[in-house]
Amino acid sequence: MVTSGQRRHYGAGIFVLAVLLYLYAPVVVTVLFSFADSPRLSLPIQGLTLDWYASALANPLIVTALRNTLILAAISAVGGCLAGTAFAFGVLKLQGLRLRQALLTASLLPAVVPLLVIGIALAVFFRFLGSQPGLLNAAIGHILVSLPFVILSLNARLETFDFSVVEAARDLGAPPMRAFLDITLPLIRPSVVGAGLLAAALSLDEFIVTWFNVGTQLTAPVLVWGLMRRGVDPSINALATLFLMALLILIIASSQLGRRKSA
Amino acid sequence: MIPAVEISGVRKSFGDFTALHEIDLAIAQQSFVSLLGASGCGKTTLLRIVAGFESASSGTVRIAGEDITGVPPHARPTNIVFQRGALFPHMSVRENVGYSLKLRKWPKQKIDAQVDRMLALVRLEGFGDRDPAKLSGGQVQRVALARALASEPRVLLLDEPLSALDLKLRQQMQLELRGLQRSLGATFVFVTHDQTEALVMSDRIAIMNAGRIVQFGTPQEIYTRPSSIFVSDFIGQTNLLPGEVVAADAASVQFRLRTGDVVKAGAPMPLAAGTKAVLSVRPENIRLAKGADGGLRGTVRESVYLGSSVRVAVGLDDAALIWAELRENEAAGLAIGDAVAVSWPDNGALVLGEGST
Repeated sequence: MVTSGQRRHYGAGIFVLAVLLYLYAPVVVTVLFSFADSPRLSLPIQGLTLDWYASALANPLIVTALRNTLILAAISAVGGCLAGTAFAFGVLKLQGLRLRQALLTASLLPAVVPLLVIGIALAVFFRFLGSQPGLLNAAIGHILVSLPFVILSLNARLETFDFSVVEAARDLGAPPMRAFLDITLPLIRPSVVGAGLLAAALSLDEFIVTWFNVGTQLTAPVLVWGLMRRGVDPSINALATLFLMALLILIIASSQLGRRKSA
Repeated sequence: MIPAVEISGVRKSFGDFTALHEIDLAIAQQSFVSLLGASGCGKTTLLRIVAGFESASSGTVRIAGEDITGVPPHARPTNIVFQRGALFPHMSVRENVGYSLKLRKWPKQKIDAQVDRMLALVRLEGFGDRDPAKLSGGQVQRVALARALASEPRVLLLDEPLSALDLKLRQQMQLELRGLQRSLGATFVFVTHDQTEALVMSDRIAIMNAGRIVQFGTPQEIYTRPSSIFVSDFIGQTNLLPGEVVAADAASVQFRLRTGDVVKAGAPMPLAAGTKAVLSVRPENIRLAKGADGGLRGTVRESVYLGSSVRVAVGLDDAALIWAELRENEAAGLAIGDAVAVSWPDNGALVLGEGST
């Protein structure tokens, strides 16, 4: 029954291809049309051009939005890292295993709370505080969204961290802060930087929480959303492609750094 | 002379669990002292209290007469060698060894000279630029030792540093450590669960059990005059025969075994007549003679050839089994089932009270 077995094999192959097509076709189409010289989204593509990239970067709105997005990503990376590292260390130093696990779970839970809920809750909260919507509020929201992921990845690193090297440094004469700077930090730095890149990646394309809290300021996803309501401009394809590249680089760098145990 | 380390009334509890009960221990300067006990006996906790990583629930620790009970680990004149080296993986061997000197802001030339001296001491000249990950287990422990000794601590603490090594290397490192301690004239406190290791290296051994020091003495004292059943059973091998004290004078007791025989034996603790106790006889002290006269009556049950000696198990009349360690020529002619007389010299047996710890 070789033929029937092979036929089934082909069937499975076709199915896998179809799923992959389904997963990647929209992205591929967007990337392709960002280079197509016709303003209409139609096949076949006549010629290739970088004009859409030029027009995207010439649009002052897009430039402002990109700048704001990068500021938010940087704040998320640094803020998420600092808060996440401090929290992961704090949890690890606790005595009770059950308490530790409970706190860890509590810190990861926001990752499954719908972003819509987080966005609205933050907006209400900021209004209660009297804080005007703007980049600052959005940044606080971005750190909140990225923290569970930062904590998860740092906790994984710290759980396998051999603290006897830190004790050795203390024993040899290093005060606590010195031991942290000389020993702990260099050893966990790749994981911390990796977690920071992950936070930046999460921040780059965050839309829902941003939209509820950023007020009249623009970020790239918010701007794209606004532009799309007036029809698809190919420069949006260019912008999306740029985003895709940035995210890919961040995610790959983050996972590479996270995988390495020590510097 | 002021002791190098003086532990007085140190107690440590974790919640309801008492890890250490009122430990008193004075460790002489320039001596090699082992804390010996099974895992969970509190020996590592005691070492970590001396190093400053754990704080005692009560009591004081003095080093060279100075009370350091509340002093943090980085300000103590002690250094520790960890079980698995705990070398800094992102630094070279040289940087590892020189770390304590860099913290003390020694000038670079002086650090280099001292690091070279330390590496020579542990016979690792030329390894300075190696990455710790590229060292063997024995080399890692040598670097850890050099690193801990570099700042010339008053007391070196060693937390089972040889336990991860294989037997041959362990035996070699035992002698090296002992030689190093002698030539440096330093005080070494060594934690181990391996009785042979403790016997080989130590000037004195503190035997610990369930958070207490049950005996502190030279290896010879501990082996020949164990103060309790626990110690005699823990150090080396021994035959324990229960019975009752019949009569006692200052140095020895008359002891009735379950077989009904009355034997004479030493007693480290005074025991009153009528006390239930246990007789401890080391296998190497036991003599066997063919026939039934001149000792306890028994029957050869088993004979095991060990190369340098022969181990013979003899069943006594009350069915208790007693092991004798004989030289090959002494065991010649003994066959399983033979009737033998079991005896030992008067100073070869000790009576230990059931209750004594």
